[in-house]
Amino acid sequence: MKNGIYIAIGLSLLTITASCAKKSFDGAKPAASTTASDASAATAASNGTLPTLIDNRVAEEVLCQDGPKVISAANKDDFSGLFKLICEGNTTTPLFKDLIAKAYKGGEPVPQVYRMDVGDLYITTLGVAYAIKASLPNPSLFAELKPHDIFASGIKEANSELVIKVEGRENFPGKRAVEKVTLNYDLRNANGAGIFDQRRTEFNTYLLVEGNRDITVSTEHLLDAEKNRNYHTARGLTIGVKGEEGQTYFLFVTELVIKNQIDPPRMKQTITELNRGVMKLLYNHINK
Amino acid sequence: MYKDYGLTVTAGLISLSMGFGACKAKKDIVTQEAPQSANSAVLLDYPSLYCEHVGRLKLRTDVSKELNIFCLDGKPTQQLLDFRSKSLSAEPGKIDIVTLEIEQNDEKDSSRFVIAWSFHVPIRPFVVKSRPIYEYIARTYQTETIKFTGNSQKRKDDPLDSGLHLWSVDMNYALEVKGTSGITLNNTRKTQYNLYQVQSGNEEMGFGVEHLVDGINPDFTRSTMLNLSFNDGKGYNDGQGGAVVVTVLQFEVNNQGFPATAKQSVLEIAQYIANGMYEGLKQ
Repeated sequence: MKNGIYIAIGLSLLTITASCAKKSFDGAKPAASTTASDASAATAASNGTLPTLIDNRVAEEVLCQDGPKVISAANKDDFSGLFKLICEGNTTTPLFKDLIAKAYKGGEPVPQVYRMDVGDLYITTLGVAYAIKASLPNPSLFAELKPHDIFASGIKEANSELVIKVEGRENFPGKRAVEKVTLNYDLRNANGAGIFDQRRTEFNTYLLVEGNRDITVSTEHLLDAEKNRNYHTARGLTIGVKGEEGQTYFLFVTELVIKNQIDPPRMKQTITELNRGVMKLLYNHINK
Repeated sequence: MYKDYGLTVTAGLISLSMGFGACKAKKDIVTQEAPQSANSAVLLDYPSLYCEHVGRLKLRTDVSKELNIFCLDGKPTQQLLDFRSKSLSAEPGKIDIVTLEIEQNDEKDSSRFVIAWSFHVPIRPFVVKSRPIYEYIARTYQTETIKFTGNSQKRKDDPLDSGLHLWSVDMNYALEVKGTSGITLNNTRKTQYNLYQVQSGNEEMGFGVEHLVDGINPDFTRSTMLNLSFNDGKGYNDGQGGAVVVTVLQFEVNNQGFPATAKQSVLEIAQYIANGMYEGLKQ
């Protein structure tokens, strides 16, 4: 029952990891993107608007026009609901802009639980989102840091603990994905409640524009969903976009529909704690 | 468009000039089963002779899709004549890789490429056939984005299929397309290369056929290369003339959703193969 909470947290973490893992396929070709001047870039980022141009298109436009098409073509799961959270027409939503403007840059992280609905039988829908600002010239470079691997030794934050292990990796699995990573979650402690919960997810990272490494989208979805006792749904999107010179923003949105397992407030607390832990681990890993 | 017309016109002129030789050669084939040496004023019509005979060869695979590009109903296509004339007028060693067809299927993540080129070398087809062409093709080639590795081994215990079948070679290839972050796309394929003499008693025409022999290859559904070589028209079994080598390559590949990268890689490999063959045959 409490496993549900752990899982939810795990997904968020995975999502983050995955998004960071975007790699580009064009080792030799320079990315066709530019960044505005430092001054305007700083202003843009503070407004939550990213300054990057990708093939002469604004990054937000590429994300919102091409993102749903590329991800839908891959046919892994239905991520349209998550895209609606971050995109409105050809531009990004206030939520997206707010997250980018408040992207984590060290200190005490604050993941945003933007949604929590408790239905009949304690079926709980929980949405978590946050962004991290990383000292990386583009999102594809994070892959060299093998971000999924850093969670194998466990995410321990406050009274919660989650271990995520990489079960397998596949390069270029098709449909413009550069990497597929299969992950095993082992949720061991939900805000002080010791539980046993294991689940598998698949994390796929895509280039939205072939040959351009400055914008990536990763998806994560639950494997064997029909057999999972704790979750109806577990989906995540991770957006990686080049920001000001030498900086990249990673934005994570995860939505879980959890079966009746655990007290919803405890669930919310656990997920918040674990995502806080993930933010710190990732940030420190990238910027070490 | 302008360039295309230019090529066509040039090819047409050369075809016209070749026409006189062709009539002579054709007559000789009928009467003597082989053309006599050409005089210095005209070139023997090897394209016609070639296409008349190549379809009669007993091959180990069906390459009609590729062969029809150059020989249709036993006659040379304009494409073959164009490639021939282009090779005869080109600066030595300058090989233009021509993409004849590209098909992308987003639904299936597949790409199909038909690529061709030609060059002229001063050695006769008789000498070309004696060279280890497979070694010129199956080598290691590395750039910033791809690593192409090949090796070859002659099939010693494989009986030849006919008097015109000269040799058979197993080829193994590995291709690694590099990502920027340590992620690479790796694929392998096994092929067999068979070399044939096209017409009995005629030293001046050779036919190389490479085809995929993997039972099921998730990365390649077709990998076929044809090498047509024939005397440049200046000689017949008399040590005269050089060779025109025309190649067509057809790949049907799983592009994994990266059609532009697949295209770039395939064109690089084609250029590498073309250069390798030319270097091996240029003298």
